[in-house]
Amino acid sequence: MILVALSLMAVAACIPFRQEAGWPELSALDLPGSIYDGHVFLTFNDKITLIDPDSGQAARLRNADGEVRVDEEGRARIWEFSGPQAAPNQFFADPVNLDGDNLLVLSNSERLFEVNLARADARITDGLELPGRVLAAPLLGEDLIYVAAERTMLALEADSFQLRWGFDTGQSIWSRPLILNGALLFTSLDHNLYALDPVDGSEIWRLNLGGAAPVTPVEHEGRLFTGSFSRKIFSISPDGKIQAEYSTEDWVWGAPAIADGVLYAADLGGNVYALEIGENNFRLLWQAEVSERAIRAAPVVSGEYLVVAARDQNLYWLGRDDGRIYFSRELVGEVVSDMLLLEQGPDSEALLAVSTLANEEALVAFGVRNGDRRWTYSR
Amino acid sequence: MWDLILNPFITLLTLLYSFLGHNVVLSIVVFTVLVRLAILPLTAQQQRSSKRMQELQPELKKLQEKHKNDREKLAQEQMALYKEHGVNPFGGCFPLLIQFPILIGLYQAIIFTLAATPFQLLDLSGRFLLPGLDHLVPLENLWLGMDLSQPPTNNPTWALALPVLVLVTTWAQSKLTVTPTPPSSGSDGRPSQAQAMTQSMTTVMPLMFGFFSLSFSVGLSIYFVISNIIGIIQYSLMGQSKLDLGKLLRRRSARETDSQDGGAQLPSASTRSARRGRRDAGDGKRKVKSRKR
Repeated sequence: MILVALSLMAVAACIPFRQEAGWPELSALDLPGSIYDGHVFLTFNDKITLIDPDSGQAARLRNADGEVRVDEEGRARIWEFSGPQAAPNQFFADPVNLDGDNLLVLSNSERLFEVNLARADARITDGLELPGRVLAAPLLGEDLIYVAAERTMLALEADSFQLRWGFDTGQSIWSRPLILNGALLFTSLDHNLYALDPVDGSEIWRLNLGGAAPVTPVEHEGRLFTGSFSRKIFSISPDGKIQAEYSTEDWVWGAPAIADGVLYAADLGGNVYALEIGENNFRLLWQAEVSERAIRAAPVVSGEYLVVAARDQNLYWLGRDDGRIYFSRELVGEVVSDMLLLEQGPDSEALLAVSTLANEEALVAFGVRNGDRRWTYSR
Repeated sequence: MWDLILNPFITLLTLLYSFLGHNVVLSIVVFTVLVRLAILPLTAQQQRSSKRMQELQPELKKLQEKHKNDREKLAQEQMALYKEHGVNPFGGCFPLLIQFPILIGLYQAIIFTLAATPFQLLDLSGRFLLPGLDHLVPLENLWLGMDLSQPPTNNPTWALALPVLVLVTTWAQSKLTVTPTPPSSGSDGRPSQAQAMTQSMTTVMPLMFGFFSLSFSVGLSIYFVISNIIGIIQYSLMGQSKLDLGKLLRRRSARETDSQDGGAQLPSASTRSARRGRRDAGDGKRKVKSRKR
């Protein structure tokens, strides 16, 4: 009996905690004129699926005449990309629109794919080899593509994917880079926010944030706002100086949301903060302990509400003025991914797309004003 | 509940990393040694109990022979024997049960602390029991060109040496520490159930751990190797292993004492007697061999 119990415990202990490195990523395709304009890419683990935001179903592949393509058994083919079957890939970085016809897809399995949007297949089946794993979406510059491959920021030629330059940091880069005032900005887990010359990769400045920095800063009125594992939220000038900082209870991972001069941020202790942005300071308007579990996802501002998603499998609608929870919606799985606000036109209520770790609720759409569940996509 | 074990371990391992020059491998070594030392009383109790049970084996066997057709009587006699010698038949199990969660906690603390993916780092948040450790995250997990958070297959070729080392040290530990069981119990000469299980464990366990190490992170393989080596040394020093380091050390110290007394060339009486015994035994063997010829 004891031997069996010990064996069971050993087996339980030996099971790896997580098969996945990251969580689902959501992005909307902004391609006016395309039949897929406004569709949502759900990127998670072994595949990327394009979802129709009207029906909540996987998008159908269509031919040049707009007819749905079918497989040998007459079933409609759906838009799904998973890379070569012989060498399975893991995908955690959003695809990026390269030229209207093709997407750039980077995998955590160190591959780069150029995927045809109409056919959902790769130009080179096995893709090109990258020097490291990729977790963050790339950024398309004028003629360069910026890719964070493990600890190195790479600049690749946009037409040939040849390496132009690489810049090593001391730790992994999990944030998507952004270009602001002629500088390529990105954070690294080595605690620094870097500003590089986007053309040659030379360092312009770096700023130590006191803790691992996994998220892309948010730009607002020429200033940068971000948090780090130093339990602080920072306001940073365009030349890399800290203008203001505010101490939080726990690590800050999600990007802040800014509206009407107020910064909203959450920490991994389940706390939400509303900070008035001053010239050289932050002023706390309210702080709310919303969940006992972490809030990783960036909050979303909508009308009078601030929506936050926690690992406790709940979405919370907080009052922007007082931080009170007005209502909440329960989900089947944990939510750690950033949510996506889908505008539905001037007369329709926007949808809030939320992805969970549960396959049966891989993607759920709620009415952002009243929290009505509109549809659910299962993997 | 599990966090009661895990979080202090994670904090301790990160503290060691801070004190030991941000060397994560050294931290794992020291951490493993410290935890094994902390549970030493439990290990010792378990070993003492198993030794006492071993000493009772001949008498237990006699009882089994005597009451082989009366299981109730056999149980009563066995309990009486245990009582007479002050042995608790489950005395070895309790310390083992206590140790096991601690060892699993130790193992899991290494996985958590080596956090290298977003999910692992998310799971690490809120686990430090002391302030001021946040700035150490994530730990530097590159060592000798290997990413300690990745399995050997995602590392340079030489990382494959680690699963081999895990296999060898696990095998060595089980070979050296497994208590020998009587050669057979049944009249048919087949090995007893316990003996068969022991034999299969000493074969299967190293293979299993070696195989697991191919998919586990390199950091865990280092832990397995260190833990096995510590286990071998610990059992040896306690005189439980076939490789009795304690005895060797005592013998060496006795030799040094002899040489200090000026008797370097003259073996002590006990050593002389032991040597004579071995020589006699050797002669015996030679005689047997010569008879065979």
